[in-house]
Amino acid sequence: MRSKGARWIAGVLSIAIIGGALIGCTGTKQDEGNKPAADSPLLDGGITNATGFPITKEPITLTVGIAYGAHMGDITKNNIWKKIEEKTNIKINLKVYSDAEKANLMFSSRDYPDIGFRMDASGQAMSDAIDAGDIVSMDDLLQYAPTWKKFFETNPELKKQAIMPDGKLYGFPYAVLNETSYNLRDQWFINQKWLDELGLQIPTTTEEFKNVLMAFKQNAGKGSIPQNVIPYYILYGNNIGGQFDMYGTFGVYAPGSYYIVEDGKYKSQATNPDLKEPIKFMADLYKNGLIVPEAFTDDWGRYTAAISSTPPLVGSMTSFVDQGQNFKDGKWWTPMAPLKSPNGKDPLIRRQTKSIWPRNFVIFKNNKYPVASARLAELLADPEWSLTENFGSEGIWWKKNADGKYELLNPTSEVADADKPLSNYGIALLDEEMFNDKIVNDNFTKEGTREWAYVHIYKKYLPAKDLNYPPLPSGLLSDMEKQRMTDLGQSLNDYIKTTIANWISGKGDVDADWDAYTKKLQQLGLDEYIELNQKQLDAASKLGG
Amino acid sequence: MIDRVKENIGLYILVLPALLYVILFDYMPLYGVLIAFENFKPIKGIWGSDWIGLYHFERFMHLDIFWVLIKNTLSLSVYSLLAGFPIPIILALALNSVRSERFKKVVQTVTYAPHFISTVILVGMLNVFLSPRLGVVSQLLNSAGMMNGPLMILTNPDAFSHLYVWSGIWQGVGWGSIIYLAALSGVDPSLHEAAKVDGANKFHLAWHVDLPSIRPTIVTLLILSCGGILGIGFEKAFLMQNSLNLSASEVISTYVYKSGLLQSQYSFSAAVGLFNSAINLTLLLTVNKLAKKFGQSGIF
Repeated sequence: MRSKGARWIAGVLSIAIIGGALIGCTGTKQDEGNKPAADSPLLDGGITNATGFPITKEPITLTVGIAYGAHMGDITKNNIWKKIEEKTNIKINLKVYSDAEKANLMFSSRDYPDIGFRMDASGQAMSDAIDAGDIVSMDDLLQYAPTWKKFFETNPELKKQAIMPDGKLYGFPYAVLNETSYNLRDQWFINQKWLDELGLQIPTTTEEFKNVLMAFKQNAGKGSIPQNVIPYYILYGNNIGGQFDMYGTFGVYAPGSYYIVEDGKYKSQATNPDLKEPIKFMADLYKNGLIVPEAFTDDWGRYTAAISSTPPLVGSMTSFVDQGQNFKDGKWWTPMAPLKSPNGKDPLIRRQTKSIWPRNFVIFKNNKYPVASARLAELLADPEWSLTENFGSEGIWWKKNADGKYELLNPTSEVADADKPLSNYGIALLDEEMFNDKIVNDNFTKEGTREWAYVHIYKKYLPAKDLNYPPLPSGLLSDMEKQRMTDLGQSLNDYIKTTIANWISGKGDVDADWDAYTKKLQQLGLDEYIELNQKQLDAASKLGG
Repeated sequence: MIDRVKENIGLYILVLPALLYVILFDYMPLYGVLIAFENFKPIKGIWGSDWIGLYHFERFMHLDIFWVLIKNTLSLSVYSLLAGFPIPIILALALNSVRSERFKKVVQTVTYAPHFISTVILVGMLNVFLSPRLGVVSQLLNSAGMMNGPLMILTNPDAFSHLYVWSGIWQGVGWGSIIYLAALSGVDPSLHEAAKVDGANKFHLAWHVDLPSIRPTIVTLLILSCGGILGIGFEKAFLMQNSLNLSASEVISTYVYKSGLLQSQYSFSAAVGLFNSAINLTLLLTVNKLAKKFGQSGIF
């Protein structure tokens, strides 16, 4: 171990010396100066080439940790690992963490892999590991990953999301800056086939929406509407498919939690009296059997089973992805605009934060080949590699056209595990330029797709300012403050969640109970919670200069 | 002393593996409890982390939800104990009085079977059967005209403890009765014969002969269950939680999981665990003492 370390240090030193010497020589010895500074036989102890492929002179093995649930398929079967080995001489040995606890346990026992892809460990675990020096800083390695270096230099806002409290970068990001993806959270769908069968129009106001749902319910068992129809389906309290877009339709922005950032100020929407109206509307829907009790009891598995049932059970719902594009008997779902409400406020649809996953490729200190690892990250940022990483295998999910552009494809049959994308479980670099100029996506012209709906329906309903809480590194507050924030957040959120659930399901009356509710939130420490979040936000804005 | 050891050397060797097991796996890891009093960081290790004393205990007790957690945890476990403790005894006594061996075997097998279902499956079954609109129970009640509309039992905080306890009894009653059946098989048949001569019927036999004979077993098990009173299982409560019954279903262990383990706050989790154990130990000692006071043999 020690001798390897010493060799590594010697390697770095000799690069520095050679580099220094070359800078001194520029102008006089032009030819030699053009050679890359790092063309030294001593990188990673002499194993790694500074440029060109393969990355390593002889085959090496790197262990890569990745969080990947068993229900998503077998990630070890993915073609990309074989592709990497063929191109780089680096054999990837995957260590799969099937849940967050396993990843947390790995961190607390410090039994690290060589490289960590997305690991889903808590922010605390990650920042503890960084504090301990267990994760290698990118400072010395970015020179081997010029594409990423340039990315951080040209995107200071995104770099801010990646920087840790000590001002350094500790990983390569998943950076897929697709406007239609990050700017819009859920689309709001209505069952077009049922509308057609009943001769109804897509609703544009909350009143019309209720009438349409009523019609779905009253015609249960007729035509293609099943007996046990769910007129409007929400997975209460959930960011995806939850009730938050109903608040937005009444002009109250709640991005998936009840907190927003307005002009740099952390603000609670849970105490915003405008929230009463959408709650009353939902209570009315519930009373009429248009929101069903399963909204409160279903878990994610049963929810997805219900919304993807063929033929559909659901009249209206919100969802990120397009539903039922491939149904044989025609298209069922149409995206619709958020509804106009009686309060006259402009309806909103939720957006996501334009963000990267800043540490989806971290190098642990026990990794004997940090330079080779950084070069691997560089390879993975290549546009065509990134397309494969983000969308899936070439020829199935995308193809290169004669004009040099990349066309996205919609596979019509079941895709094998080997050809699935890594998406945000790995890294990729596809910036806005790529999406605007290089990627051809038919969906923009296909009515009813997410891309089409973004442009034609949702764009104008996005809130003008970026109100979402930005992604922040852990470690901006002291441990005690952080623990206090966790405790307060937990009890506040539990109370908000239960109280609003009760109001919607007809237990208690929102008008009568509102004052007691806001008072209780104060009692539970809402102000202190806001203060702590504000402090964290302020600390983050000073990062990275 | 040494002579006696030499004399029984075989027995000592026999007990050695078990003793080693207990020392290695139950006593050695005990030093880890230190992290409850520290701001534990994996990098600094158990010996090197900063000592912060009772901070995490105070933090836990000052939580707004603290008394709710205690109330929910206590009421679930006391209810489980009160309802769940006598039923296996009654089942065992009843089975013991059954004359038909065949019938007895069938009943035993049927009542054991649910024990082998995992908690996840059990809760899944509950959810499917009791689902508000489409569950079997809801459909049956609706078609029988006994109810109109959805069955709101899963979302009702008042119903949570009943569901929790009685599904637990359904699952555990057969298994729990095994130990009593074993104890009952040790009852001297001559006592039964003597009682029959005196004109005792089946009920008299169970009440005056069988029950007193297994009383030491009952007391021992009762003391042991009192020792676990705050240790209400995490899995089942967590799986049965939803946003409408949270006020009744949030117990200490589910809270610790959500705000402790998922956030890598190991010290806090350890502190709450230690708090639990301390209370359980106190209860166990108290009940043990009480049992002795009332003339029963305790566990030590």
